[in-house]
Amino acid sequence: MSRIRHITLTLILLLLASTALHASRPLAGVTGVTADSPRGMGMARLLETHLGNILGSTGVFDQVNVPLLKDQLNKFNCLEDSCVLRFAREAKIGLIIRGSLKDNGDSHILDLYALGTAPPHNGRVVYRMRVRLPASGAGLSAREFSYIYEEQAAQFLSVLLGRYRFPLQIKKEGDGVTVPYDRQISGTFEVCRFEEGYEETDEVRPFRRVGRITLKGGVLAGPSGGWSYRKGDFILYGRRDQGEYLKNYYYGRKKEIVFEKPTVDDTLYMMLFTVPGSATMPVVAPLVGYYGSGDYQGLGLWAVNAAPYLYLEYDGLKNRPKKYEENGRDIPRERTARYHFGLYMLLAGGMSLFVDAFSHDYLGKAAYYQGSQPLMGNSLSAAYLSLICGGGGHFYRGYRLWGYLYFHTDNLLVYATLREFSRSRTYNPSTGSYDKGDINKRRAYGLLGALCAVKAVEITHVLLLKDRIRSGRVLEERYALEGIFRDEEDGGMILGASVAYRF
Amino acid sequence: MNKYLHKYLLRLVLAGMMAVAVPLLGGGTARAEGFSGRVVVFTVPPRSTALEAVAGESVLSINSVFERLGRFRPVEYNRLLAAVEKADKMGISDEKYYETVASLLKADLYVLVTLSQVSNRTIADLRVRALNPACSPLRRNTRLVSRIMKNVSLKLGREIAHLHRGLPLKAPVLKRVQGDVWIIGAGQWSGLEKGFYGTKEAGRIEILETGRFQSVARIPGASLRRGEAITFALYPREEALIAEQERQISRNAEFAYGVGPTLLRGGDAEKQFVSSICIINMGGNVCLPGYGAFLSTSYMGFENPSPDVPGIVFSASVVGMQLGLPSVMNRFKINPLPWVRDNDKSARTQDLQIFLWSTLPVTFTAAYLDQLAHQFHKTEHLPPFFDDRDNMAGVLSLFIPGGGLFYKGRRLAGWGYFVSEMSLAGYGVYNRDETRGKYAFAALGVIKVIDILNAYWVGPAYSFYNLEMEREFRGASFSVGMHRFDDRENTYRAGFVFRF
Repeated sequence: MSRIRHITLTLILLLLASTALHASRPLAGVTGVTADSPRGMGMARLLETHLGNILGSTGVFDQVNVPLLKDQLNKFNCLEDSCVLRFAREAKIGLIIRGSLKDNGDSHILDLYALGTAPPHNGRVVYRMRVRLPASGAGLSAREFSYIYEEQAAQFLSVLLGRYRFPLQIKKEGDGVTVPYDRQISGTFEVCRFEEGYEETDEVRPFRRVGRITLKGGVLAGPSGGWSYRKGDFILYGRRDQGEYLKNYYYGRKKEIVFEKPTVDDTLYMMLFTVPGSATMPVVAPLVGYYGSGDYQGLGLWAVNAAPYLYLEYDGLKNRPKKYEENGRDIPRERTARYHFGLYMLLAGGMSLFVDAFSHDYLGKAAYYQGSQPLMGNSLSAAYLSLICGGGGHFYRGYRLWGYLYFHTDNLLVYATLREFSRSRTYNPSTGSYDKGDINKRRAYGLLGALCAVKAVEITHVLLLKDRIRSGRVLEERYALEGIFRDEEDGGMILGASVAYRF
Repeated sequence: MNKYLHKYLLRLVLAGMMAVAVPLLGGGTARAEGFSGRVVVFTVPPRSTALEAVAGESVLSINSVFERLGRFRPVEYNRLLAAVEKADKMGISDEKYYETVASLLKADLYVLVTLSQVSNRTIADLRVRALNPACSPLRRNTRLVSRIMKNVSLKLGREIAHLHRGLPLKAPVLKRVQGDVWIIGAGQWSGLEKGFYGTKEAGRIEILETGRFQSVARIPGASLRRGEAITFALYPREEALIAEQERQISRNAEFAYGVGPTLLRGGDAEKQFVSSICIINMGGNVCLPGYGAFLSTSYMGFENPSPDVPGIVFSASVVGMQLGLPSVMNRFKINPLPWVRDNDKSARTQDLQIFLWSTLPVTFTAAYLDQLAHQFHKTEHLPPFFDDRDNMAGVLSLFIPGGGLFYKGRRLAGWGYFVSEMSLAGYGVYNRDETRGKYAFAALGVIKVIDILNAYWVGPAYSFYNLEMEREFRGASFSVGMHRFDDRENTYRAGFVFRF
């Protein structure tokens, strides 16, 4: 008896003895997460447990006992994807989840992927997730690691369930047809039929769409649109709803764990703190915020991005129009605009970088379950910050790139609008007063309109975003665009571009 | 003596002949069957426990690279065990053993890694041999050296990734389904997706459906035999994987050589680096210009550091010049303090004086970075922020002339930029209202941009780090030894090996 058959038989016997199999539910198996260090092994076991628990909680699959499956595969040295896939096909396991945890000293690289054996996946990787996770660190103990790995498992399974589809056989019952499943299916589905000439054991079995059916409560409802039943016809069904539910549930639960309950008071405190925060930003943000929390990337970005506006603020307030008036000098419109811009930066505009200096640290702690962070995770506060300063809400939610984008756009628009509304004033020595110049109202109101439009977009955008509190750093880009320039052996040349999609 | 010399020369010649002959024989027995796309990775059993662990990691790393690039599939472990069992029964030894096992597994390629240790260096000899003549261009002999054991497997993996450069996908034809529809032995694992592809042997073909390792393809009008390979114009994306491997090699080097994990024993090296630049060094240089920069390096945890005297002398001279140049230019007639304007001090002289005094912190920082670079070279440590070294170097060069170059250990280049930029800035300030002053500022702008870009792009000059990052070890090695044969005569040996 071949090794694969041996494993399959053992498992099926044990499965029959231990679990009540639902014929229509696909079977899923976690074949284990390998690790290359003792501490990695502990984490891997933790992850396997969470994967099993969450997968079971969805109710989408029947599960093969994880330790049993691992034992059998290891016993027969069935370690590679090709071997596991052969076994899974024989054992009619529809989904195999595998992974590895590589110890890199200060971090672990988690590589988790799922193989779908049945059509339409035909053994392909349905989803792969590679993420760098901390291996140690201050404040990280068993509790935090358990949360972190549970979150990874939930993230992985939520995306996987969004993509995974499995065949459900159409059965003839009397004059009608039904699609038996452990829940009553409703909706319109395409009917699929395998192409001729392939064996059931073939890795790939192409199929074609032969019609559509509408089901109500798992039973054919209404005409079938020209399709006539043939044994073996099936529909492809997925549980995207469960994926969405998992995603929202775990995000909501994490927010409850890592943020204090958001209240209107938070936003009121933020309002009270706006002027002091904005005014002290040039000193407090770099020293207490970025340097204090060791956020040197933030410090560098702050230095480069804030410098021109801080100069404008300083120059505008130092050389204010009042000083020109005292000396009886003409006041260019830029001088007035800089003064008003300086006031804006002093009273409100600096708040966004003040928020960035602290929120980055708070969200980082929240991502790794380091206590409950105050004042964070409040949509009202995010909207308020987006309203009063450029990119404040985005910095608050942890989106630094977006934050700086809005910060520059808003500041430039604010300055340009103030400039357009400012009149140049020319000193008239004969009257001892100032003559005011004209302004281009059309352009001024146009800029004000643009500023309002950007603000509206910014606030809407920030309200649609979630707080950036995901633990771990996703490693691989899913899409990559690259140019091709290559000589061929026959003297020809290939020029072009390729888009790669990684699995 | 002459007798021994002749014997020694004879042995050298024989050794040379063996070195040439063995690789030729190794690739000689080619498998005549079709393309299987399989590879086997072996390690010659090492003599120490530490190397055994490295050998295990190396096999995993090499297999993982083959897996991720999707051109050659490592044979399954259970099959490998069966083949090894069979080969053991055949009683084959040495070089032929690995080739036999690979042949039994119908592999197209096998990889053999031999590990050894010389002093604190681990040496990995990587041999790639083709059993299928179609794969013979992949044959390689590469020697890799590292002082960090964890990096050996990564460097081997990176070498295998380089092996994949420009390697088109070859898929064996497995069986005909009907008409012109075939099952071929490549699928998603190799990067195939549904759609049309150009092939060398069968022209344009259509992939109708893909699995993990197999696909269904429509191949019109081709007369194919089972096992025959189809070559797709589809190439692996090895660059991303190489970059990933290099990042990890670099991270391991940082872990081994970084001041944080070593000198500061896990302390916050970044914070200490920033503090030392902004506070400690400033104080040190105010007290003792030049020498204060060296003293400040102790703050980074260097034990018994030794100063770089030319650097100290040079930086102290620059500080002296900044303090005294306007006075010298005016034959010491002017007040040496920049904020005092006397009748002999022109506005431009005062501007220059203010500029030179106000940029003293810049000189102090350059002096400190120079002394740090000296310590990093001498004690074999890497500076903080090394994980983000290019950005860090760019930012340092933005604020400090040549700062990024000092950071990367290129001290001479750093001082070159420093002198150029400071001279141009001083000249520009002195001639601010004249055209030549504006030209000086324009030139300063250009040099500043070059400084930043150069700092960003140039590699670090730390040799211990570069040893980890380099691909093939091409250094010359000298060896001596003595052997006694038959308990009677001693044979002395001396060798000088240079790989090319």
